[in-house]
Amino acid sequence: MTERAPEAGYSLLEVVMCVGLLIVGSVLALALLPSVARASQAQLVRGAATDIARNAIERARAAAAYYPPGAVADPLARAVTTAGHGWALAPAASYVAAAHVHRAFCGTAAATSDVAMRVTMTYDAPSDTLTVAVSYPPNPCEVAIQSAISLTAQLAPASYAPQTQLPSAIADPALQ
Amino acid sequence: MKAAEAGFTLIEVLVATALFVVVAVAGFEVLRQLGWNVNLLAQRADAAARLDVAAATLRSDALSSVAVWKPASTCGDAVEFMQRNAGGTSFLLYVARASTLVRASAAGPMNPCDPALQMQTVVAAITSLAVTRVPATGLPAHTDPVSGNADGGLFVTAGITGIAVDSHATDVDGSQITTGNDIVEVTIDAEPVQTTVDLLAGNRPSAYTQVLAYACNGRCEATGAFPEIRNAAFTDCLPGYDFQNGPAYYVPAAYGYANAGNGTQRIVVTAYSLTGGYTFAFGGPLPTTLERTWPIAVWPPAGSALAGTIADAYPLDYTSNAVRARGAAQVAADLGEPAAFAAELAACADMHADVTFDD
Repeated sequence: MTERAPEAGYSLLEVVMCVGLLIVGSVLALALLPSVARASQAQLVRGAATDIARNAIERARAAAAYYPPGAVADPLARAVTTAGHGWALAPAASYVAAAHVHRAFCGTAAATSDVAMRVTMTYDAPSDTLTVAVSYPPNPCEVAIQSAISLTAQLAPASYAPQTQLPSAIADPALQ
Repeated sequence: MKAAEAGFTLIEVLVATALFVVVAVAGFEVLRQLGWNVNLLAQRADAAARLDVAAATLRSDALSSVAVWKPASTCGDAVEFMQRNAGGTSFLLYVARASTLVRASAAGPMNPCDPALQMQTVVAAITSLAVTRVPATGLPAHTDPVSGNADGGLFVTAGITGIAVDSHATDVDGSQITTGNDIVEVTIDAEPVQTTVDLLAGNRPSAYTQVLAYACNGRCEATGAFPEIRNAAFTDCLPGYDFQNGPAYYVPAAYGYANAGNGTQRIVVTAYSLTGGYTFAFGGPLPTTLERTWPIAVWPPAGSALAGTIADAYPLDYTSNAVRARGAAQVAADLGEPAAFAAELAACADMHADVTFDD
């Protein structure tokens, strides 16, 4: 067996193997980067889902801001009517909202996409609470995988519209 | 056998160089993409953070406002807020200037196009600002601004009462600023992030006329300085009576009584919630055969010299406010009811002069 002289350097095969290993390692490391980049979008999409929920609650606050005058004219009916917000809010509803996600890293770097999010709203009359749940894909490139956020709001009592006249029937003790 | 020191052949060197070039180009491309992505991520994170702050500021400003509206503008959309607090009335304006979302404040309403506005930057480098007014009654037909899907399915259309009342202030274009429960939808696009914020004035006008069958014989409350400050507790002699909305304070702007002839006094109180500024109205006894009709009216009367001039600070100073300053008799005169009001006060005075009157 012939011994290689110390100054002989590396053979082409050795160099190619080293380069190959370096490339494989680099590719494996770089392959993780897109998933890391997409993961960073989760917070952004979650923020958008939260905004959608907060906006839904705000619209509910506006819709239920005032008692309908016709429903509160009768003092007896008024006590029941004003106990909650069932006169303005149905028990449940759902719809599909969306958020713009500009350049979503889904393989087309400059793509802009709208990420659909299912919104489910429920109003529980006994507790007078409105719950808004929004399903969202943490990774906009894999919409099949969904997470959800849920906000619950206790609605403040509604107001009487200006100049609403509320007759109050209080029995005259002298006539009882 | 080739000597160890013979080195590489030209072919070997060319192959190695070609491999290196290919790998270097690929690596450079990956790094370029990575750098672009990192830059975009940083840009996105920064824009998202700034939009979060902007959204929170907008919601906070709306919560403390008595009116939120989209002002007329020839230089792009804007959203304006009117606030009334212990410091008086003030205004806030959000508008896009040179691709920057700015916030301006002033003691009076602002022209969004006024270059002299005192502005602070809220979000730098925005692409667009879009503002849309959504009437409360239109909420059942509202659509999600991005998906275009109807999102008002939760609402019972017949139950929604849309309120838009005069806030007793005028915008720079002379239009009356109204307040109530309209939504103002603000969309800020700060590429690569966009956000939409629905805004509702936190302080909404609320006032109603409460007509009471006042069953405490021989008692008349109409003795205090006008307007008299009451809360729900003043109805101690009226089991079952409530002013609604619990402990909130109200300003009864008018009250009176009519004797039904059977020991029942009918007291009429017009009460005003102190949130959202206030709109004064006059209430009168029920129009029965025993009582005269005193129709509801608004003070200051629309079209009068006083209209739009009432700007009491909020919260209302009970001891010093526009109604007190005007005085009961003058307010009644403003409303064209001086004699009727004086007669009611005189009747109450007579009752208090009666030694059997339990006051």
